[in-house]
Amino acid sequence: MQKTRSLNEFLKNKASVMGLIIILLLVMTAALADYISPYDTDKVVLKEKLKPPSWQHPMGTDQLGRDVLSRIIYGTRTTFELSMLVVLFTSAFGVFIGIIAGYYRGIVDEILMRLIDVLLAFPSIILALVIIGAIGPGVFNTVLAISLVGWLFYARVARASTLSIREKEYVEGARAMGCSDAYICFFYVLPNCLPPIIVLMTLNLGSVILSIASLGYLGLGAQPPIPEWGTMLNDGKEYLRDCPWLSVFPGLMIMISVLAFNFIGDGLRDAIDPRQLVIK
Amino acid sequence: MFFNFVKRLGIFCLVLIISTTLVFFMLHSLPGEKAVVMAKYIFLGSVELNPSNEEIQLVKDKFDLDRSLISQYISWAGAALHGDLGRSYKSNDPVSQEILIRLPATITLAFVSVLMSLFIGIPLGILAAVKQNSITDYICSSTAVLGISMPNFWLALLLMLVFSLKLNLTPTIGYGGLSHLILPAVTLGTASSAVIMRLTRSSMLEVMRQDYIRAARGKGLSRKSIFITHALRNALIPVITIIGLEFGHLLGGTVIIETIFAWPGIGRLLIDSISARDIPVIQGCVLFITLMYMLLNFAIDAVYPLIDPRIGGN
Repeated sequence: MQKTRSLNEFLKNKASVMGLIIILLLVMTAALADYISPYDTDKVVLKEKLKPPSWQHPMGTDQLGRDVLSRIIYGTRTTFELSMLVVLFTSAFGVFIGIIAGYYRGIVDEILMRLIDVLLAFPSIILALVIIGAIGPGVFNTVLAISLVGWLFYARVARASTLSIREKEYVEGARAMGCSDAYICFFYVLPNCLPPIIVLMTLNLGSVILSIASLGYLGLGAQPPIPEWGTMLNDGKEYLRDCPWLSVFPGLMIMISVLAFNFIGDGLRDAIDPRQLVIK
Repeated sequence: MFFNFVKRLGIFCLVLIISTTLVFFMLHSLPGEKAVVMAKYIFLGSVELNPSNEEIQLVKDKFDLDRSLISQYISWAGAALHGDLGRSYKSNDPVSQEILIRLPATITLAFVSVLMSLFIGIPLGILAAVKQNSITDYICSSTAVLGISMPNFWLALLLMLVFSLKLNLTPTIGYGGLSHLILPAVTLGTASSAVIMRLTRSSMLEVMRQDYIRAARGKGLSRKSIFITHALRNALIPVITIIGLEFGHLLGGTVIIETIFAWPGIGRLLIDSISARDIPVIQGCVLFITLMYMLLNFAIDAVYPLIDPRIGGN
């Protein structure tokens, strides 16, 4: 009943449904990149360089004569793979830590939560920058730098849910039946603390995409020739005056993806419980 | 109240210690790298060239870099407590001086952006809340989502393209008069306005549901007086927190925008020193940014009891 109601609520929200459709399209683009991309992303054709959008190249060509549309299509794959990786990794780790802290309470919980308060008080992009500064630029290091801060939110939310779930009758019942702590955490606490986590994951996907693109734009993320939207913006900015298509299209893609995730996240949050979560 | 203050001060110090320690050990995580970077600057004057083994050994001996990281950390922290953050490898100027020179630019930009977001975000948030579910609300709210989702560096490029390159109204990059300030401030102000607008709206709607608003209505107060004296004042409390956080983000987080517009602030200094591997400057910047951020949070907490007597009075 509850689930059907939430689903109906979500489907009534036009913006969320639109966001969902956009994301499905983008995921399909990423999956089918090999078939739909018109050109090879690395094919350098110098005599075709910096051509404005045309029928042959709908989004123009870049400073090396590479087709921008093909690079955008493969960029979808890079962005989605990296951001999903970050979100799956951070949410799994964060939820694990959060449930343990909330379930066992005590001194470990206290220390962990203070530590999280401290780390969250620190501007996360700066921390990511410093980590990249220490270990060097690159795709893997980007994922690492963003993940090191990312799990904190999940831990906090999971802990808060666990604190209330562990007092519920059904947990009491499971304990009376002799279930082990691990069993209770996995089969009783985890499923019940998932709804807010899923909302957080959706909204978080948007901000992770932004972080990846920001690092790429600063030249610290994916290195050329990997097609990545932020890196493409970075390459295109020198040609801003005469070839704005090099900057306009990658930025547009970033914005559309983030917007779609934000729409879905807002819709999910309203559908599940309007006042359960406050996320900036 | 006093206990609370001490507790906050404790957390404040803890954050400073943990963040600087973390950054110190991260920057020194590659063994021997510091000596190589220093040798590059001392003997070769550039981070691009590779120093010889003798040069690296000379630097190691001179600065005593073979001792343990812990002992290096203690001497750095000891000096930092006295306000000495070391010298930049690149320019050989004291790090504190490098930071202070760039402070005015960063503060100006952050201040103007926050001011802008207040003047746009709060009125639009109130408007959207008052006319909930109307066309006005719909337009305001969707514009806000757009503002949050738009990558700020992309917005910066678009603004630059339209206003500087096509219309020639503003200078593209650099620092100087008011005209240089417009584009970076608008870029940063857009996202902040959107955040503040959304929060003002939801906070206003939340407050309007409270019993004391119904009581005020029942007393027969005018709509205007209910809004201004009863609703707005309560609704703005969470908004103030966000304003402080936004200001903190802007003081440290303008990294990308400062880089795009060649704005000579702290964020740009941090990026430059990361690519130059100028370790003392990176450390100094992080310490400074954390300090500013925490001080702002502190200030906001101090302002709370003035707006909301329920807080802090116990």
